[in-house]
Amino acid sequence: MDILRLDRLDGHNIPNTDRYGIHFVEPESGKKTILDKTNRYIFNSLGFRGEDFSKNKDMVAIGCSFTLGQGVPYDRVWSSVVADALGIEYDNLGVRGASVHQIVAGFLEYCKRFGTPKRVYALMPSFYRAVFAGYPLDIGSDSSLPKYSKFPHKPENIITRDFGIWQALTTIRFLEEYCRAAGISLAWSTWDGDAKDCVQEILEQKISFFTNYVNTPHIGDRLDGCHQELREMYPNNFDAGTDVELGESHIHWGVHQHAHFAQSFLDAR
Amino acid sequence: MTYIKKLDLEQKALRNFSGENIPFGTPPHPDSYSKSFYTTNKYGFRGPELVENQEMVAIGCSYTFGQGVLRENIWASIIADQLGLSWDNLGIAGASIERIVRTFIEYCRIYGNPKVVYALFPTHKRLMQKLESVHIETQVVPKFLKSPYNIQYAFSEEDCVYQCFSWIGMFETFCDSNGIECHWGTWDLSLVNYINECMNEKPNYFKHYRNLAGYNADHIADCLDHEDLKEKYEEIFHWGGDDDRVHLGIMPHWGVHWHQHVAEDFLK
Repeated sequence: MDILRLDRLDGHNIPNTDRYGIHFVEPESGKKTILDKTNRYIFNSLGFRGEDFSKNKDMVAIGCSFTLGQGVPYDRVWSSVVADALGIEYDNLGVRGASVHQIVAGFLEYCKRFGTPKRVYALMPSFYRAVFAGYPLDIGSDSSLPKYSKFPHKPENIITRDFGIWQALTTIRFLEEYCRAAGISLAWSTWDGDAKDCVQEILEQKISFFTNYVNTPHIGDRLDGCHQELREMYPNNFDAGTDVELGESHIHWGVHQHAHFAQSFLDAR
Repeated sequence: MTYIKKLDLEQKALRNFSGENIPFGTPPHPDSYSKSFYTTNKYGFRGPELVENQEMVAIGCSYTFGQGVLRENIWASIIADQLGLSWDNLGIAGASIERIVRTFIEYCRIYGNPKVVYALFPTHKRLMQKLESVHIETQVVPKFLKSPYNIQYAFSEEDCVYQCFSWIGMFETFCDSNGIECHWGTWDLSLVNYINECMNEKPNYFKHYRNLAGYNADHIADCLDHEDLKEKYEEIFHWGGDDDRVHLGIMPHWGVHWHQHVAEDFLK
């Protein structure tokens, strides 16, 4: 079975001890891609950024490439800033391109192997990333779906965004209940504007879940005039990351945005 | 997103039928069992009202609900009786694995964690779309489809297995982290094959899987160990009381004998 080749807890990066550049293996071709030649990336034996995991950590951060810290130094990733402010060590479970479901399933596998942390911070991606047998899929808008589909029907031509939203929200609900029952302090948010709107709509209904949601800045928010000390320290990474993906530069945040997300999580404690 | 609001009222949304007492057979049969009724609680689950801190919980689909058999015949009821445990039945007719797991989590939130949970999962081909289970069709798929599409044609068999393995994995971890003793199996022989394949490759992939192969049809047909049950529940011994193949072509659920074997396999 192909799906068994996929480990539930897999950072999908080539483990190494000390190397520059994110080495991402393209699932289809097995091709290794270097995305950032500026920052130093250390991946542990499971392919996650940071040192090897150890049992019973105080804190775990889960999410996608923003949590991995694509394009920024490790100590300026939002989760590193949070851990640093709290004076605790943490494990980073950020997986590039992961969907909400993959992120939560990976976290539960982590808990199974390394025990439950005291707290978990989650920064979720777009809810339009659905998960199929081992690969995430960005679901297009309903109007972008073709009018007709020919066999073999591809999920990307048929699945609508409602499905992605449903899958993401039910999975987050599961995460909330898991953390509550296991005595783990949870704070979660999302960087995606549409996902924020979804959550906001639910919160306005005043129902008793998503109580662990933290309102973080919108990506498009203007962040002028603050954190000038960071601008001086990280002139190349301040506004945007130094990563290059599919020929496009600076597609992830810089250390400034990371600082604001970290502050939102810290303020919500 | 009205369906999201219903998430919080999962149990109500998951009413098996109307929440009222309903005829035992569907439709009623001209036999003595048609005079019986399923007694459901306010959430639509079979049995009395749910109470806090039960010792055991059974989760699953219509087989756990006990469609076609008396409450005392349900596999979970036999286990609870044997072990002397108080229990709640969270069986939901037609539910997918995801829905079953999430219902259990909601139950734990409201009524507290049980000491032990037994799960009898259905086929992996049932997936959730909003509040409804969709049976994924991988055998007979139209060559052409027109928008708006039915998602039942969008998933491959492997997609379905991936989804259900993922939810079962999360279910196991939830139980482990919360000190809940967990046992699960499935009645779907095609899913059993996938699980066996998985366990051959990765023996530790699932920790709490119980092989319930003993209840397969051939084994049951040859079994002569339950003649007492046959005598007592003759009309629902092999097939459940929801048998209406003659009038409506509705296939029944398995009967008392099958439930007995499932319970015995879990207790082994």
